[in-house]
Amino acid sequence: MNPRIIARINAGVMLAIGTSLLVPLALSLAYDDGSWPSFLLPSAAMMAVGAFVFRATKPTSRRALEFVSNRDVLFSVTLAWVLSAVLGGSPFLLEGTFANPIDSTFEAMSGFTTTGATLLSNIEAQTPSILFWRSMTQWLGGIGIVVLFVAVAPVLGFGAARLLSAEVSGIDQTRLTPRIADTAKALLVVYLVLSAAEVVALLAAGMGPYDAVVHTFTTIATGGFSDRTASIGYYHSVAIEVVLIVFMALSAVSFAIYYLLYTQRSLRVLLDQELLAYVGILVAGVLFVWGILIIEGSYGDSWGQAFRYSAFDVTSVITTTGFVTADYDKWDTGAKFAVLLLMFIGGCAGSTAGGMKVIRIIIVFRTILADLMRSIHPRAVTPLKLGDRVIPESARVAVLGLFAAWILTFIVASLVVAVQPQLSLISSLSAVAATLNVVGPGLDQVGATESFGAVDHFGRVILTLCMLLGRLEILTALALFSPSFWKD
Amino acid sequence: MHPKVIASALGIVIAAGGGVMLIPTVYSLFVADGTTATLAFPALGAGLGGLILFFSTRARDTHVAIQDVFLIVVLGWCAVAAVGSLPYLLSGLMSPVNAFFEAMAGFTTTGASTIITPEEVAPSLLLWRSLCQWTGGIGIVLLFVAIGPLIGFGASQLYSAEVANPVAERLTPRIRDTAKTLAYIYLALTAAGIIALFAAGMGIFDAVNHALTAVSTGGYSTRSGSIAAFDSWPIELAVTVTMLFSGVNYALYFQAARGRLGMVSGNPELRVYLGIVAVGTTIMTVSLYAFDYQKSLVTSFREALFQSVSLLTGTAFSTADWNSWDPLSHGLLLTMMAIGGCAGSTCGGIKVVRAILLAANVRQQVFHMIHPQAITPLRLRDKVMPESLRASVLGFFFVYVATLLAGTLLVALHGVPIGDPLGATFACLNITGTFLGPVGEAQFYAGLPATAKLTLTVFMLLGRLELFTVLVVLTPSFWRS
Amino acid sequence: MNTAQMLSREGHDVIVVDQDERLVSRASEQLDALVMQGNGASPKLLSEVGTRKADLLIAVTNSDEVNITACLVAKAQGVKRTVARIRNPDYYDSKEAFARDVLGIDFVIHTERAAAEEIRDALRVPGAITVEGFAEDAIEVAEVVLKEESPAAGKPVKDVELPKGSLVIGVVRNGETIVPSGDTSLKAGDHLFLIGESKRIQEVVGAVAVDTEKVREVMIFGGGSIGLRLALLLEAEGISVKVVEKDEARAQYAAAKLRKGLVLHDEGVSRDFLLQERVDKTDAFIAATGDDRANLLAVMYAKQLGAKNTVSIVSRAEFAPLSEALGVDIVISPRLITASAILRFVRKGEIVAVTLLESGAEMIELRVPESCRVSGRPLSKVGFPRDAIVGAILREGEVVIPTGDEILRGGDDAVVFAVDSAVGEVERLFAS
Repeated sequence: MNPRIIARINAGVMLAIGTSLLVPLALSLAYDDGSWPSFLLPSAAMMAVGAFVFRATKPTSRRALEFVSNRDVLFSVTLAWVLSAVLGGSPFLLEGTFANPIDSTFEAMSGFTTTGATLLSNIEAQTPSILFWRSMTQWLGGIGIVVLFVAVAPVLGFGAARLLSAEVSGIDQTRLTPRIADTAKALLVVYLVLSAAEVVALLAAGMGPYDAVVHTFTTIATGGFSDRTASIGYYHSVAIEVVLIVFMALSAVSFAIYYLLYTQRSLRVLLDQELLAYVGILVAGVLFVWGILIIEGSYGDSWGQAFRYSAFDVTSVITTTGFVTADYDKWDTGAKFAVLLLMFIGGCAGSTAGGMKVIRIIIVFRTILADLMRSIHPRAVTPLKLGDRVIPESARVAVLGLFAAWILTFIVASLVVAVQPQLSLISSLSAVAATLNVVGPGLDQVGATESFGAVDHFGRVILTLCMLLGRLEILTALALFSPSFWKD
Repeated sequence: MHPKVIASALGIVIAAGGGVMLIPTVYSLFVADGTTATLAFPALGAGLGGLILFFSTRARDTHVAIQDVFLIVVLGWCAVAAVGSLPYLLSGLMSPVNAFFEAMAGFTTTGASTIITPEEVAPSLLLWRSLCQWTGGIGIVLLFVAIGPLIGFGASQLYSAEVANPVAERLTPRIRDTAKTLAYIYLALTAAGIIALFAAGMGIFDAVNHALTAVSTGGYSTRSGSIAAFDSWPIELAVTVTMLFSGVNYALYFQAARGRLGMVSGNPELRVYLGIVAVGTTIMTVSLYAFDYQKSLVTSFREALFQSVSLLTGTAFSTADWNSWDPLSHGLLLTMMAIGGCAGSTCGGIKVVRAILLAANVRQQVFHMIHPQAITPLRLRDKVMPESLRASVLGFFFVYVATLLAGTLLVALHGVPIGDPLGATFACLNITGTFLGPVGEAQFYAGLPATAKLTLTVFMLLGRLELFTVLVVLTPSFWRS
Repeated sequence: MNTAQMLSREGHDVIVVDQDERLVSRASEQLDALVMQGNGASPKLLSEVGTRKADLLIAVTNSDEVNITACLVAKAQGVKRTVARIRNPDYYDSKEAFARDVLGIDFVIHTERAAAEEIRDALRVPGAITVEGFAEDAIEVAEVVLKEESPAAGKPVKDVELPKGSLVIGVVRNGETIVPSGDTSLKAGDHLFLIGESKRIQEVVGAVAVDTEKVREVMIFGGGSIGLRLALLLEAEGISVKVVEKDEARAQYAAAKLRKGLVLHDEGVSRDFLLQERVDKTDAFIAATGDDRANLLAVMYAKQLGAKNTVSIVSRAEFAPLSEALGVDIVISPRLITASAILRFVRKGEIVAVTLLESGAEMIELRVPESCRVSGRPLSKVGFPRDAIVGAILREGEVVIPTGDEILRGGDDAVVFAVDSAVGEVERLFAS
C-alpha cells in the first residue's frame, strides 16, 4: 500500500469538509443561534491538519503519483467515508446534540452516505445551523458519490471496471468527456443546476427559503433528512409534495443522462433501457400501492388522498430518499411489504440513489429468464443485450454474485442486530434493509415517524457499517475485511 | 410436447398414490376406526383410474421431450396431492382447500398442518398422513438422484458431483438399477428408524408414524406436542439420529452400498453438514445455558441438538418451545432452516452444497477486488466445478430470495401481520413447515384465508422441486414450441 | 544442433536431418557433420542415410509424434539405440514397459520437466543461480555469482572461508572457465562453482553469496508446460506462486490444477499490472513462456520494478550471452538441458552423469573402475590435467572432499569439473 497517496486523498477530504463547515458557521453567526463554536473548532482543526498533511504528502515527482494500486483506491475510498463521518459528526458532539461519538458518527454517516436514518427524535429542538449542517452532509455525500462512481471509477485505469462494482454501471459512455476532471465538472454542474432548480421550485411552492435549501440538499442527494420531525408531512401542501416527487424522481436518474441530454440535444438519450425500466418500476409501484390502499380503504373513500400518499412515499422509497408524508407503517401489510421490497431495488446506477440499482435488477432478471429458457432448450445461445450493448457472461455472473453478497450481508447484519431482545424481528430486518440500501427509515420501531433510538449502541455501530457497505456497494468495503487485502 | 406420454406417466403416479393408500385401508380394517370406506374408495378409484389412464394412453412412440419431464413432475405432484386429499375430505375432517393443503404439505414433506389435535383424528388417517410424507420423500430422492443427472435436471451436477459419470450411459437399464438401490436404502433407513424408535420405548403405531416422517424429513407427528409429548431422551436420540441420516445425500449411500467409503467420508458437503450441526448445537447450548437460568447444561445441549438437527433437515419435530429462546438461537435456527440439508436428500432449503459454493463465490469476488486479473475456479474440496455451476448456484439463490419475497407479498396481501407472511412463505419454501411466532402451529395455517393457503401450496411445490422446475413450466416459451 | 556439435566434437560421426532448408544450410556451414534435408521420420530417408550402420538415433524435433515414428522406424531398420524427446506424458510413462518395448525408445528426454526441476532446485538454494545434484543427489554443485559486497570478492581462493567439506571447483569469468588453484584471485562478477554435501549446500552458498533470503513468493510469467509444472513443484515446496498467463483457456486450466497458487489472466505485462501484483515484493520472477524475446523483456521489466531474482527460459543460443547484461540472474536453456541429457545417455558406462555449462565446461560424475590410471595412487601423483579437478567423492555413502593426498578406490563415485579441452583426458584417466 502507498500511505502517501492514501494520506493525501484523505487530507483533501478533510480540507473539503473543513471548508464546508464554514457555511453553517456563517449561518450560525447570521442567525445568532449560539452554535458557532461547534463549527469553528472542527473547521479550523480540519483545515489546519488537512492543509498540513496535504502539503507534507506533496508528490516528490510526477512518477510518484503515477501508480495507484487497487488496494490504495479501496482503502482511500472507504477511509474517506469513515473519516467524513467521524469528523463531520464532531459538531453534533460539541453542540451536545448527541452525548457520545457513536451516535454522532451514526448521524453523520447517515448523512454522508445519503441514507437519512436519524437518531434525533425531536428535530425541531436543534439550532438551525446544526440542522443545516446535517442536511448539508447529505448534499456533500451526494457529490462524492456522483464524482466517484460516474467520473472516477471508470477511468481509474487498471482493472477499474471491476473496482467499485462499476462494471455494470449502465453507462455506455463511460467517459463522457475525454478528461476525468471535465467529466467531474460537468456532473457537478448538473448537480448544481438540479439543486438550484429545486430551490426555486420549492420557494414557488410556498416553502420558506431556509427550509427550501435544507430540503433541496437532501432531495438531490436522495438522502431524506428533514428539519421537521414529521418530515414533509408537516407542510400538508400538495404543491410542495409534487415538487419533491419530481425532484426525487429526477435525482435517482443517472446524472450522465442529463449531461448527454444537454450535449447531444436529442431525446433518444431517454430511451436508455435502465431509465425506461426505472420509470416503469416507479409507476407500477405507485399504482400497486395505490391499489392496495384503495382496496384496504386505509384512506376511506378518498382515492385521491390514497394516490397522493402512495405516489410520495413510493417515490421516496424507490429513490432511497426516505422523506415521508404518511406513516407507511400504519398501512396494510401488503403495502408495507411492497415498500420494503422497493427499498432493495433503488434508483439508477450513476445517481445518488442506493439499493441494488435498476440496471442490475434488469440484468439479473434477464439472466434468470435466459436460464429458464436454457433448461428447455439446452443448446440455446442467449446473449444478454442492453440496448446495443451485449453484457458478457462474466458480467452477468458478477452481478448475480454481487446480489448474493448483498443478501448474505443483509442476513448476517440482521442476525447481529437481532441479538437485542428489545427489537422486534421486523424492526431489525427493516433497519438493516433501510441502512444497507441507504434509504433511511425502516418499519415498526425504526419506522417513518420514529428514530433509530430503539437500537442499542452496538446495533448502531453495525448499522453505521451497513450504511457504509451499502453506499460503497458491499464489495469495496468488504474487501478491507479480507485477509488477502492485508497480505502482499 | 407429447400429451400421451404425459398422461400415461401421470396415470402411473396416480395409480401408485392409490396403491400406497391401500396400506392405511388395510390398517383401518384391522383397527376398525371407521375410516375404511373413506380410504378404500379413493384408493381403488385412484388405482383403477390411474391404470386405465396408463393403458389407454400407452403409445408406441416413447420419445420423451424435456418439456414433458418438467410437466410430468409438476403435474405429478399436484395430481398425487389431489388424490391424497380425498380421504381427509371424505372423512369430513376438512374443507377441500384444507385437505389439499394438508396433502400437498405431506407429499412435499413440508409438514405444515391444519390439524390442531392429531390425537382426535382416526389412526388410519394419521398413518395416511405420515405415508404421504414418506412417499413424497422417496419420490424426491428418485427424482433428483436417479433421474435428475440423466436428463440434466436443474443443477444436477450438485447431486452427481461425486457420483460416477452417468451422462453417457443409456437411460433405461441404469435408471432402473439406480432407482432400485435407492429404494432399498430408503426402506432400510425406514426400517432402522422404526426399530430404533420402538427400542427407545415408543409404541409400535407411533414408532412407524414417526419413522416414516423422520426418514422423509417431513415432521408430521401423531401428537399435538410433537416429540415433546413423549418426554424421553432415548426417543429424542433415536429421532435425532434418524433425521441426521436422512439429511445426507442419497448418492452417498449409493456409493457406500457399492463399497466406496472413501468417497463418502471425503465428501465436502457431508463434512460441512455435520460441521453445521456441531457448531450450531455448541453455540446454542452455550447461549441457552447463559440466557435461561432454568436450564441445566445437559438440558440445554439436549434441546439444542434436537432442534438444530430437526430444523436443519427441515423436519421440524420439536421437543421444546424454541419460540421462547434467545434471539441469537433464533437467528441460528432460521439460518439453518434456510440452508437445509444436503443436496439429493429429502430436505428442503438452499442445500448445504449451494451454501458452500455461495460463500466461496463471495470470497472470490472480494478477492477479485484486490486481484482483478485472478482466475479463480470454483472448487469443492479438490474438484474444480464447471463455471456454469457458479452461474446456476447464484441464479438459484437469486430466484430463492425473489420467490421468498414474492410469496411474502402475496400472502401479505391477505392482511396478515407482516412477520407472519414472511414466516409462512419461508416455512413452505424451505419445506420446514414452521417458523418463529405463531407460524408452524396448526391454528395459524387453519386460520389463513383459502387463497393464502393455496398460494402456500404453490410455494411448497416450488421449494420441493427446487424452484426452476416449476418456474420453467410457468414461462411462455415453455408452451410455445 | 547443439547436441550434434557436441557429439561431433566427441568424435562421433553425426548425420543431421531437418526439414527446414535454411536451417540445413546453416547447419552444414557450422557443423562438422553430414546435414540432410528431409523428413526424419521417413523410412526411405532413414535407410538412405544409413540406419543400418548407426548406433544411435536421436529424435528431438518439436513434434512428439514425429519423434516416436522416427524411433519406431529406426528400431525396425536396425539402429541399436534410440533417444526421443517427448513432451506429452500421455505417450510415455517410464514405468510402463510398453513404450520401451513397442515404441522402441530407449531413452526419453523430458525437457520441460527437467527445466522446471532445474529452476526449482536453483530457487531452493537462494543465492545460487543453479544447483546440480550428483551421486544420487548426495553431492550438489551450486553456481554463485560473486557480488561486490560478497566477503569472498577480491580474495584468493585459499583465503575464502568455506564450511568444512566444501570446495570451489570452478570459476567462470567472462565466459571463460578456470579451474582455480589456491592462489586464483576471485573478482566480483565471477561465477563460482561450489561443491559440497547436499545437506549443507545452503550453508556453503551462504559463505560467499550475499542475498540468501529464503524464497517465499514467486511470480511466474507464462503458464505453459514449463510454467505450470514449475508452479506445481514450487507449490509443493510451500512457496506462494502467482502465474501470469495470457491465454484465458490455459489460465483456467492452470487455475484448476493449482491448489493455492494464484493464476492471473493478462494479455501482456504492463507496468501497472506488475506493480498491482507486487512484483517488487516477489523473491523471484520467472519468465517461462516459449518466446525468448517476451521472456527477456518481461524479466527486464520485472528487474527494473524491483524483483529480487529473475529467471528466464532462453532457448536460442544467440540470446544466452545477452541475458546477463539484460539483468537475468538465472538463465535456463532447454537446449542445454536436452544436450546434457543426451550426452549422459551416450556416454553411459563409467560416466554416471554429465552437466554441460554454457561456457563449454562440464561437470562429470564418474564411477572409478577397479583398475585404472587414477586409482590406487594419491591424486596429486596421477597427472591429472590442470584444467580439471576432482571436486568430491562419494564412497560407501559418505561424501569426501579430496585433497591431493586422497587415493581413489574402485567403486567410488567421483565428481569432476573439467574445461571442455580436458574432458577427453579425464575420461582416458578413468578408463579401465
